[in-house]
Amino acid sequence: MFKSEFPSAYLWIARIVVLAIFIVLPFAYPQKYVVHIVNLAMIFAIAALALQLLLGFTGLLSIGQAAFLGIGAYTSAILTTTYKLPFEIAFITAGLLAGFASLTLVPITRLRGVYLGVATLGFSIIVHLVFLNEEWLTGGSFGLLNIPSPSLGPWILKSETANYLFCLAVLVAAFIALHRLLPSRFGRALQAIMLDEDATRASGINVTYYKSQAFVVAAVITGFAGSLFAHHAHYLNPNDFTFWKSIEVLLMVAVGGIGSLAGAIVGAFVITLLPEYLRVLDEYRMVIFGAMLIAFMGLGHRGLAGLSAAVAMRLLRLRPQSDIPSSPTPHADAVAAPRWSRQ
Amino acid sequence: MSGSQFIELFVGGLAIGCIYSLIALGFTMIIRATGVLHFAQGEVVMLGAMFGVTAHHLLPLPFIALLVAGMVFGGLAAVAIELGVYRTLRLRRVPLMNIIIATVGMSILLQNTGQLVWGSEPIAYPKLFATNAYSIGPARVAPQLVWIIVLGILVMVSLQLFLAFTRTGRAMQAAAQSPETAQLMGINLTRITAYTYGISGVLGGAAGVLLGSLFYASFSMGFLPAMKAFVAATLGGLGSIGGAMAGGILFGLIETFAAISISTSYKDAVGMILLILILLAWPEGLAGLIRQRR
Amino acid sequence: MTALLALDRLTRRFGGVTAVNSVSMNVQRGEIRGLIGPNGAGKTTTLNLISGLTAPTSGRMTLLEQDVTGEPAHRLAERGIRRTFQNLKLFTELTVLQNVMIGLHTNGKSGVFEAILATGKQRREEKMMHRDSLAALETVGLVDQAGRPASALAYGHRRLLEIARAIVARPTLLLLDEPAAGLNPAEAEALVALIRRINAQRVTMVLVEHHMDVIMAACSRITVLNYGQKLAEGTPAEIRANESVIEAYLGRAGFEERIVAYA
Repeated sequence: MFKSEFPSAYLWIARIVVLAIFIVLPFAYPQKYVVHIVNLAMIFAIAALALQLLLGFTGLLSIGQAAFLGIGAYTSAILTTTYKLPFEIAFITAGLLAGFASLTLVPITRLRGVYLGVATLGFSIIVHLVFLNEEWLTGGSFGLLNIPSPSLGPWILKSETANYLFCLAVLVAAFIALHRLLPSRFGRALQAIMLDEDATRASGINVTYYKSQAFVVAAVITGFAGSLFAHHAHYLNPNDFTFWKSIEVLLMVAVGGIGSLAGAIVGAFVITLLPEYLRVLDEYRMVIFGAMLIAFMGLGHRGLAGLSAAVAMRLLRLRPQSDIPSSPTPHADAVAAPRWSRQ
Repeated sequence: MSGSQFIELFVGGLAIGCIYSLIALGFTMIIRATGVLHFAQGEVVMLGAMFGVTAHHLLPLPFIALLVAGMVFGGLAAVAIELGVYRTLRLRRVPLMNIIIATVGMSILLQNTGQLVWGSEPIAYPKLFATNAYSIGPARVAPQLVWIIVLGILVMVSLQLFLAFTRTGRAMQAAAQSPETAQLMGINLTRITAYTYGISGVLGGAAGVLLGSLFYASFSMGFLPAMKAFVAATLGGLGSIGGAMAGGILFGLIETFAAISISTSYKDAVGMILLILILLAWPEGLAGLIRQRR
Repeated sequence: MTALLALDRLTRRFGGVTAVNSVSMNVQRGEIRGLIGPNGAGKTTTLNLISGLTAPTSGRMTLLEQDVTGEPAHRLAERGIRRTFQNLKLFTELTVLQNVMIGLHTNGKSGVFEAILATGKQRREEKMMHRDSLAALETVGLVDQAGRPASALAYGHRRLLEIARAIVARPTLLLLDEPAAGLNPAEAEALVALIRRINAQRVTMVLVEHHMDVIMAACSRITVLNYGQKLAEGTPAEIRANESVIEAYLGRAGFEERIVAYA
């Protein structure tokens, strides 16, 4: 499943070309601003990949990912500023603490569909209020200032480019990790849960345990992204982690295409970069952004990833390999329960 | 807490709760009929408030007329969105999740359009009620709050009567229960879905005018109350009309009392923690509790 | 000889309805037990109770002399109880091979870290699962479909895939819920042969089926349920001659002819 219709040789060539472009980009575009904003998109791409694991591969709707992003960011920022710990330790702790915090969500993993979505949204709101009100810890609405640049042993990644390349490496690592995870025993169990819980149970898989593990893995990855965010922005404010950010991460996954790792990355870039590109439109910027978001949703469930794959297939004059019949669709107005809201 | 303070808080909580109930009913109607979590519901609320205040500036009408204006325009806006956008997406047979995300896009679009049309500054609502407080025993209550409760309940009762006693209302109920069967019985789903959005728009418009009269009208006024109302609808049990009404009022009361007895900064957290606890006990909200008892 | 599976006054109520009412049953090692009864007799609920997808309201269940009452489905599956579903519960978006590999979950150990690091142990485990799954597909005759998505299979093949997923981990007890539903006579005959082949590998079975020819051909003993209660139990010959069984089926169109044909 979720195996691309694309021959894997082409896929690997495409991946390597894309990676090469990203490596060259900060040298080709030395403008600080461009590197800065692409870097931000990469950081959100890591968070979007994590949500893809939940939504696209386990069928769990989480509207609470900003909480883990924030926990990672504040952990890393506080450890490096107040406690002057080295970045490496702060980075690792950020992931672990976010994963630890996600354990509080274990009881709610038995909720389904929209109910799970609302509960995670509630979690996101609670965590934001903690960031906002616990001034002794987070600096409250003043935020945290002077967060140092990341460092790896003797190297301090002070320049935008160095920071950028480090974030790119983390993104690639997250992609490879998830790419290996999906066809494994663990990944199959998650996909089984999404497709049929009863059959999964009857095959000897503890559904609650695996759902919880999916949440923890996603939270750890999001926590890493949060740490990168803190050291990229050098400044944290509770408003970076409102529930709106949780919705934004969801938008990234949906725009890119639910069930596609590459899609999550594409979606993160679209959602982060599009408003920047629309700046020329001035006050109409967000109106057009909203309209474009609606238009993207007309592309179907495979999102931009599906669209670009189809375009590439056409260009390369390839025929689809798989013989998956298109699923039967009822009358457009008749409601079919979506997988993630199935009771 | 003294007795009079309790009454004042209770009336305040009830008033804000009625507004949440109206918005929550809108969510519930749409989710029952189409499965869509309508993120732009808060913007319909905002439009209702804006149309109400605009109507007042054009013609200094009594409050009831403003409320009706807000309801009518809220309803029309919602129908236009449904027929113009969501229906187009459904005809393209995109998955439900895409339509839900599209409603987030609609929310962004409407909010920023609202900012373009009415500006970024909050617009004060005209003083429409007697400023002398009513006395309930030792407590003194602002007339405005009482009117919000009365009008809010009036709208909700009308909705119930509409659903129970009109042809259209019953067709909507049938379509929500089983779209396929309703279709076989000759119910035009396109029209019924448009009505459903229309009614939830009317409810949202009413909530907008009432909310505006309590505070002010602003382009961003809708989103947060709508999110809370959605939580309230979930609290009551998504898809249950009674649950949405009860959940909204409960949420308003909890929020008001939590702000006083716990802390203002964490008042939103109390509602959320309660929500999570209730969902843990009854994974389908309070309506699940009632179903269990039956 | 003690039974492999023993149900002792197992009961399940749903609200006011008693779907399974104080059913006791002993399934011996190696037998193929038929479970029949009119619609709504509680056959599927009984399978759900045995497989743990539904918890019993009261009563006891013993597997290999261990009390397993109320254990969740995944634990019972680990203990070797596997099943198929009447209304096909395949992982439609996964390939045929991946569907079967999920049945082998309990035979593996590797988790998140092993998969991310692609350790040698993890890769050996995957290879083993791959090989065993292909063997199970060979048994049911679907090996040439291994790479196709499950949703692309023909109906009869989907039933076989359910069986492959259930037998791949070499269960001690296999529950088949109407495996012949929707199959043509030739396919049903092949199914009986498959059931016998699986049984020959010392897999005990409980078979719920409406096709009387399948039941009569495959089962060594038959339990008849009616209105959630056990009506009769015995060899196919005894059941055919049982007055109360014939009565229970009388007046229920369709079943009458089928049971009488064997009487």
